[in-house]
Amino acid sequence: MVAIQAKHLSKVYRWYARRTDLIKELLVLSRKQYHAKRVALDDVSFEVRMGECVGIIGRNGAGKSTLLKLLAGLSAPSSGSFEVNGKVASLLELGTGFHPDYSGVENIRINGILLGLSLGEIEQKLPAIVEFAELGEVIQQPLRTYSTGMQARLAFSIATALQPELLLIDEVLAVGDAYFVNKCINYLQRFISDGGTALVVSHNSFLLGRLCQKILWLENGKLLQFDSAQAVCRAYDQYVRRLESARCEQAGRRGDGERWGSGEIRIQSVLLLDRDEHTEYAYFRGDRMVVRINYKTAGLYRNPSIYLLVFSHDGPLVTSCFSGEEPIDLGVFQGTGYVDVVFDPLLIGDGSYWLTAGIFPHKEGPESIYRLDPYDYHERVCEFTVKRPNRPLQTVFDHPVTWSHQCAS
Amino acid sequence: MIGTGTRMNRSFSESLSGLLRNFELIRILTVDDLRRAYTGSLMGLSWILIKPVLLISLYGVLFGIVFQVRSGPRQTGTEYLLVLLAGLLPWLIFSEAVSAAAGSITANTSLVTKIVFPIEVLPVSKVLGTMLSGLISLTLLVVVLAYFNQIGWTLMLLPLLIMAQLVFTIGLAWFLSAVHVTVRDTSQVLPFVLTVCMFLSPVVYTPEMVPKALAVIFACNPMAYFLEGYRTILLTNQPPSFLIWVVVTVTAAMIFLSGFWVLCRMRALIADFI
Repeated sequence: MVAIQAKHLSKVYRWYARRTDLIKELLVLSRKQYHAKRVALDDVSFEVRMGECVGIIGRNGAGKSTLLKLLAGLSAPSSGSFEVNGKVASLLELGTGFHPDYSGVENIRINGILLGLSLGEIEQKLPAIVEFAELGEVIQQPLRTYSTGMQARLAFSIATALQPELLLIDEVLAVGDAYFVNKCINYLQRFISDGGTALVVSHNSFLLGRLCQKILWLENGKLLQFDSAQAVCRAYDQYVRRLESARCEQAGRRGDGERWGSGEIRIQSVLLLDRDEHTEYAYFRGDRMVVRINYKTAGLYRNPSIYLLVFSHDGPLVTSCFSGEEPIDLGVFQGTGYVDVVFDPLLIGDGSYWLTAGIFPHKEGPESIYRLDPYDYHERVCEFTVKRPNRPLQTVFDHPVTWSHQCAS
Repeated sequence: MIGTGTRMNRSFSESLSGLLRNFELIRILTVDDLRRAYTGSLMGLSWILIKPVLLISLYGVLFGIVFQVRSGPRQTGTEYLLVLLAGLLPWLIFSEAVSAAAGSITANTSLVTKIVFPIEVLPVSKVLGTMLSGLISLTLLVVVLAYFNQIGWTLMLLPLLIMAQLVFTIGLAWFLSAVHVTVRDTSQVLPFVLTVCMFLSPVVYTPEMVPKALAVIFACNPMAYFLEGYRTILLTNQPPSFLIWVVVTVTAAMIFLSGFWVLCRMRALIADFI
C-alpha cells in the first residue's frame, strides 16, 4: 500500500525585492510580474510504501524542509501533485505555542489543542505524555524552569500522543541532549515496527542510516538519488567529503592566518596528502594523513626544528609536535625541499581543524621554543576535517585500546 | 488526511463549515489569549473588570463635570454622559477588537508555518477575547442605567445587536489580518483610520448635534446604524427601527462572508509570505 506518492512536485517561491512589488502584482490586473523566482523544489517524484521509514538528506537549502512542508499541507506546490494516505502528524518544530509561564501540564493542553487533539483526548493521554517525557512532579512547574532537554522531551512526547499513521519529522532530533535523541530514535524504531510510516529530514547521514530503510537525497531542489539507506549514505558522505576537501584547500590557498619570522627559511606551502599521495583535506579517522611542508632557504641550515600545531575550529589545541624535542636529525636544508610529517593512523575525532606550521633554528639547550625567533611561522596555514565513520557519537579523540576477555567458568 | 485534500485547496464552503467544528479550539484559544495578556500582572484577570470601571469613571468626570457638553436643551450632565457612553462603549468594543485582531495571524507565525492549523480561528478568538472584556463594560453601563430607571424590555434586543456586531467585526478582522501579512503598514495606518472613523460616526455626539447636510455620512456608515441601535435600545426604551435591523444584519453578513473569502483566497500566499 502506498503511503506517499509524489508526482513531479515543484515549489517556486516568489521573491519580491520590495513590498510594493507584491502590492502592484496583487492590485494591478496586467500580467506583468514583479517578482524573482527561487526554485526550492524541482520536479521531485517518489513513492513511499506504508511501514517504510524514509530519510531525506541534503545540505542546507537543498529543499528538504520545503518538501516536508508540501507533504504536511503547510504550503501549496507550484506544480505537480502528491497523495498522502493515512493520519498525518508533522513535527516541523517542537513545542509550537509553548508559553514559558505556563506549567508543563498547561503547555501540554495548549500544544495538544494546537496540534489538533481534543481536550478529552489530552486528558486521557496526559499520564502517558508525562511518563514519556520523564518529568514526574516537575510537570506542575512553569516551563521556564525546565532545561532545554526537558522541554524537548515534553514537546516530543506530546507529538507521540497524536498516534499518527504517518510521521513527518524535520530535524527536530537535532535539539536536546544525547539521551533525548536516543529516546526519540527508540520511539521511532518502535513506531515503524508497529507499522507506522515515517519521513525524517536530517543532514546527519549516520542517524538516517541507522533509522531508515531508504534515503532520498536532495540537492538544489532536485532529487539526486533515492535508494537503499546504505547506498545513499555512502554516496552522500563521499560527496560531502569532496566538498569539504575543496573548501579546505581553498582556505589554505588564501592563507589568511598571521605570519612572521626572519624569512631565512620560508614555508612555501603546506599540503595534506592521503595514502595515495593525493592532496586531500577531508579524512576519516584511521586514515593516513601526511603533512608536507615545502620550504625554500636562502642559505644552508643544519637540522632546523619543525613545529606543527593542530587546533580545533572551536578553539582548543588538539595536538602538537616539535621535531626539536625529539632525538632526530632532519639533516641539511638548502635550496628547496619538503618535510613530511606522517599521521598514521589519524586518531583525532570528528571536526574541522586548523594547522599552524613553524620552522625554528636548531634548538641547542633546554630553553622553550617561545624564546626562539622563528625563521618562518605561519598560523592557520591549512585546514582539514575529520569524520568518524559509522559511529553515532562525536568524539574528540579515539584512544587506542587493547581488549581481553576471561570467561570465569 | 486522505487523498490530495490539503489545507491549501479546501473550498470556501468546506472552510466555513470547518469553522463550526473548530468551536472548542476557538474557545480554548480565547481563554488562553486573555490569560496570556494578564499573566505576570498583579491583578490578573480582574483587570478585565477594573479597566472598564476606570474608563467609565474617567469619561464621567471629563464630560459630566469638566467639559459640560450637552446634546440637547434642558439636558443634565448625567444625561449627556449616558448618551455618550451608550455610543462610546460599543465603539470601543469594536475598535479594540479590530486593532487587536489585525495582527493576529502575523503574531502567530509558527502556527502558520510549522503546524497544520486553521488560521481563520486566530482573528476570531482575538475578537472574542476583546469583546468579552468589552461586554463587561457594557454590562456596567446597563447597571448604571438601571439605577436611573431607564431599562425596559428592549434590553432583550441588545444581545441580537451585539451578535450582529460580533459577526461584522470578525469579518473585518479576517480581512485585515490577512492583509497585514502582506502589508505591515496596516498596523501604522489602522489606529489613525479608526480615529477618523470614530469622528465620522456618532460616538461622542449624536446625529442631532450635527448639521443635516452631514447626515449623508451617517447614511453610508454601517457603524452609525449600530450606534443608533445601541442608543435606541439603551436610552429610549424602544426597539430600533426596521431600517437599522436590515442594514445591520445585511452588512454584518456581507462583511463576514467577504472577509472570510479574502482570507481563504490569500491562504496559500500567507503560508509562503509570512
